[in-house]
Amino acid sequence: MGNVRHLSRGDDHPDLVRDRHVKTTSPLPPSFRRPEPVPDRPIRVVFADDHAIVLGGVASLLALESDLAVVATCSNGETSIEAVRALEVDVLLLDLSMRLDGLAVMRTLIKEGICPRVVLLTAEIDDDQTLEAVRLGVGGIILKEMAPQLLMECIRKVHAGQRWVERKSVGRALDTLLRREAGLRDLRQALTNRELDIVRMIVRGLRNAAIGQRLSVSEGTVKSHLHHVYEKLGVNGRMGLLLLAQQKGLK
Amino acid sequence: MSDKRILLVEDDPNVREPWAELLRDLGHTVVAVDDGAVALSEIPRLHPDVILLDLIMPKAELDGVELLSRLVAGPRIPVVILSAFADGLSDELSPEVKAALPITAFLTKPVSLDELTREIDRAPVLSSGDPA
Repeated sequence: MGNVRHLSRGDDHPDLVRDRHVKTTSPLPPSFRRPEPVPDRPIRVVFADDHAIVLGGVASLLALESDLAVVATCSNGETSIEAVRALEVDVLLLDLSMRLDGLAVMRTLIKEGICPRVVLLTAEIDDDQTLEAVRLGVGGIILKEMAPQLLMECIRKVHAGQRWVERKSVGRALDTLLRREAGLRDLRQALTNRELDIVRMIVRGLRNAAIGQRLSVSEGTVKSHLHHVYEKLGVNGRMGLLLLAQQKGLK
Repeated sequence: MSDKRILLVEDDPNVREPWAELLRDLGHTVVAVDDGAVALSEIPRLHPDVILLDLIMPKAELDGVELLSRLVAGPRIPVVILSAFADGLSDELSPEVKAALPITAFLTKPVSLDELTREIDRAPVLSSGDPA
């Protein structure tokens, strides 16, 4: 488990402490609070994309909307961070696939406590990236193949505090993660740490000789470990082990 | 409603603190924390009957998703998921995950007190959550 930070602060609020079990934490510092939407003021958008045509084209489209104001366009992730630091930003529209990608930009801004509402704009996104974006608090994910009007709608909804993310992909990615954990738990109960290390390397496609080199043991020792693994897991050789690993979400 | 030990894991103080108060007013013992790392350290002390878990906590050292993955290998404690993404999440979880984790409900935020108390009442009592 990681470092536990809150309980040592002694920051229980007297009005909320009713018995010795009750632990509360202080409200978030002001810098963590996202600005509330201001009515009758355009939504202030910063847009970052490392493709100049996309950057100019989308910025021009946004400029046609009277309730949206593009306050900065940025050709990379680094300058989008600087823009958020310097400007009052309601929505940060980020390309996912820049050198410093959209998720890395979000992580930096969260660490600094200044992350505005974020919409990710991307040509494609896999389930793991979707879950990671959601865990970072993304407001919306828009594919570049979608109609421009959907982007405007997404920005408005996200600015209003709503989410625009395909839930099925979040669920699928969460399932993969939890299935992997459940699979590892089962294997941990059955195997020694060394055997588990070998299974992980088999799943990654390593041959016995390469595994032996990594573990500084002979190929014969690896074979012996594998024999025990097959017996303990009730599988019929390497292919059976790989199938089992797949079933348990490890592959 | 019987008194339960509740671990509430929610990073938004505007949600966490009123809920904790309301649930205490209903007679429950509530530990309210804003980070999964703190929740993990509270579990052996509180032996919660149910965990109310916000999945998405971007500022937390250990967010709700990570806490859930730790619970797969930990004690079996009923979990009620509270999330803007809860809708339809249950349909995407495989039987293996459902067997590994006693997630008893998925509630989409904003959650009403009625919904919350109903799911707290429904949460089964699992022996491993009891104090030693």
